[in-house]
Amino acid sequence: MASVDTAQHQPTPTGGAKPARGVGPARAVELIVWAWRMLASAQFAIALIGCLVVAGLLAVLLPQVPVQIRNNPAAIDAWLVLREDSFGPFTEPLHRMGLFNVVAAWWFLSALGLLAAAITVYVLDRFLDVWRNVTQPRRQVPDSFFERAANRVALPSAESGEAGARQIEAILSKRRFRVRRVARGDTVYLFADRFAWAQFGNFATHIALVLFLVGGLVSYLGGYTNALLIAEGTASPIFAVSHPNQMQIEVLDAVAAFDATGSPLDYRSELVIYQGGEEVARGTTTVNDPLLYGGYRFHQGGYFGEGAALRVRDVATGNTLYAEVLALTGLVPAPVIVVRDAGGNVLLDAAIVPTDLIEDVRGSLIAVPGTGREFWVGVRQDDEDGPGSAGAWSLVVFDRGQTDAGFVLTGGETLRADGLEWTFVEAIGLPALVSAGLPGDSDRTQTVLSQTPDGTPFVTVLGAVDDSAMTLFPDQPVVVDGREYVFEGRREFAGIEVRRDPGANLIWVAAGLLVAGLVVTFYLPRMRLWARVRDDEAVVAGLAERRGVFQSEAEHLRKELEAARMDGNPEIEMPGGDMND
Amino acid sequence: MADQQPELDGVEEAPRRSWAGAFRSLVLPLGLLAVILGGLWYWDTRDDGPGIDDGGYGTVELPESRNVTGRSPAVETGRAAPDFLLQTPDGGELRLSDLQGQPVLVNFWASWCSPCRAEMPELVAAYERHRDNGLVIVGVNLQETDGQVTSFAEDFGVDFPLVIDRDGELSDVWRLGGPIEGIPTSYFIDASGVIRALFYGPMQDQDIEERLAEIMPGSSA
Repeated sequence: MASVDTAQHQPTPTGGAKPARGVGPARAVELIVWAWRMLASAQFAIALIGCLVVAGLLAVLLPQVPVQIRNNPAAIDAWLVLREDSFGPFTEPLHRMGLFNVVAAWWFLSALGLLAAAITVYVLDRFLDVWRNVTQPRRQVPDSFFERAANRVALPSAESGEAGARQIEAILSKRRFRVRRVARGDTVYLFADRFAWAQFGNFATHIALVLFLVGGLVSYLGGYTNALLIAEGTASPIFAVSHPNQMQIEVLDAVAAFDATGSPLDYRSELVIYQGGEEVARGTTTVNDPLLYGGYRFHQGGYFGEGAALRVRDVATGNTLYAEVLALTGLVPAPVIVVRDAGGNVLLDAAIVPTDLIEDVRGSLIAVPGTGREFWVGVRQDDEDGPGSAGAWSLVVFDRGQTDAGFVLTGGETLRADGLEWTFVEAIGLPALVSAGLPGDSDRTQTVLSQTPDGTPFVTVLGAVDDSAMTLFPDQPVVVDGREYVFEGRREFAGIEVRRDPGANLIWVAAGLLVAGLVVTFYLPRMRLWARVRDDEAVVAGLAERRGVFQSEAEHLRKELEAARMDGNPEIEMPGGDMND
Repeated sequence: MADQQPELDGVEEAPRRSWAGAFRSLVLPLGLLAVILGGLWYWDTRDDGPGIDDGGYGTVELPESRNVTGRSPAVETGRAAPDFLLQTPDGGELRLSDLQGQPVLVNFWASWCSPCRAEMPELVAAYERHRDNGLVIVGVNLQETDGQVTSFAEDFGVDFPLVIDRDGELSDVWRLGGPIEGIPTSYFIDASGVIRALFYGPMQDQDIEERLAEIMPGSSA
């Protein structure tokens, strides 16, 4: 769009006598102005960035308090004691200066805040000038500018004066310039501006920097992360005790899929979220597709498949005395054996759950079906072959009726003895846990999970009653001393990571603004041209972010004008019609 | 951010900065920033739930006539217990100060709390032993559903009153767990409404009996 200015708006300059001010207010104003100028200074921002870089280097060079213990003063004290080996008497002063926790140190956070303030002030301080420059650009320049400008070129013109100016104006309009024309006597002045708004690209990048800092601060102050391991059929709160936003997560089902090699293919869980005594959300969560509620993300963060649900009731009242789902995170070694009779028929094919420890052999007394005979079968790890290598496992077997007639087998070995053929297939680890609280005779019990050859899970509880072993199959209670022990079944655990990151969206917007600002700044540069057309000459001078841009535009303008002159057609069609008047 | 300007030779000056112009120019970028932040806030909170509405339940003022200490209620031994009004899982109400005249054991618990599960049979047994002597145990559940509380009570044979702190407000007032902030936590309140003992963590039978003796003088506790 082009237009003709017949009269320039002349703003009334501000001025007049300065208002009388007292010493106090004057100093206050001066202080504010001084602070504003300091914050608006690029040098100040660069100095701050330099300080932050140095702080970052210190954080790399000096050991930092682990994230897990940063809210635990006692743990921090213990951690500092270990640092005294390296830093001696300087340990405490370094800690007081925050050098062992740089990113949380008050001076580091203050510097970040100051940097955000500096960038904000920098933007505000320059915004007015840029805004005026974009919306009220200088449309006329002195004639001397056409003689001295670094970017200037004399152009051939098919026409002179007003006609020549219209010719140039038409060409520039087609090149997306916004053109304004002013006539003074025989001379016509043109002002052409393109991508004026591109100057705001620089602001976008600065606002992006502020948003990055604000986003980081918001996440630091308002973010929340907690990892929970929750068994199927149970619930867990996301905060330690009570909280205004307290929620409970119930895991209805935890599912894991594995490939043939045992590598996990997929984890997912069915969750229900409760808040304030009501169900507020329900759905499936996976690693990459969390369940969302209340600004929190409930990610599947892990899976554990070896859990056992145990319950103990008082037989007299029916009241529950104990109800836990145990995560069997330990392992106990167990031999897998196959016992055949003389005819080759399999009498026993199972992993033997160890219930005793005799010297260094873990084993159990078992009955071999169909023989009426009992054997004590155990497994032992031989001495290591050398540093770093685990010893091989051996099967140890004693006939209960002939305790002096035992034998030892190595892995994969088969032996015939007294009409039975014994094969030691391998030693495996069975999921197990030593825990407290199970009603019985002992404070501590060991629970071992195994399964029958047909896949039925069962647990062996050691030490609950008379320091002996108790085997529990699903929903087959065992009553001892007026207590009913029930194995309610195998349970899986879902690792749920609860996250709230209020700064994440700020970071995304900041990244978008940064990219947009850089693209605009580098690929859509602003360009301003001033043209003076007289009877005998047409001179174009300009300002461009890059000299090559001006030269390219000038060359294009020159070619168009030459082509028009060669064609003898001075009139070039105006895009959208002639709107000069 | 350097802005190129042609050299001047006294040609018309650009309009000088005025306060009105400055105001407009400040408002625009700040307004833009506010719009961005407001949009982000909306985006971040669009799926937030309605929050927890406690329906007016929670801590209530202890009537002066029921405060024998002459000091404001506080969770300390020798001070009047802070009063509360909470809902029971079946929709009823229970106010702590209404129980004055009887020794009261206030126990904070949750079904997800393993030590609370371990302790609950001890509380059930203690209640059976002393209910005829006037003991009242009030189990304050932390922020669980009516169904979870009822199911737990049936499983463990809990027949003393249970109430639910829906929004977790009592946690701060009663300083659960003291310095370690945890449950179970129990408070032993005598018949005049004064806290005589407190216990952080799961109690065994002996722990309960020792403290009941302080609020039930003359009983077999």
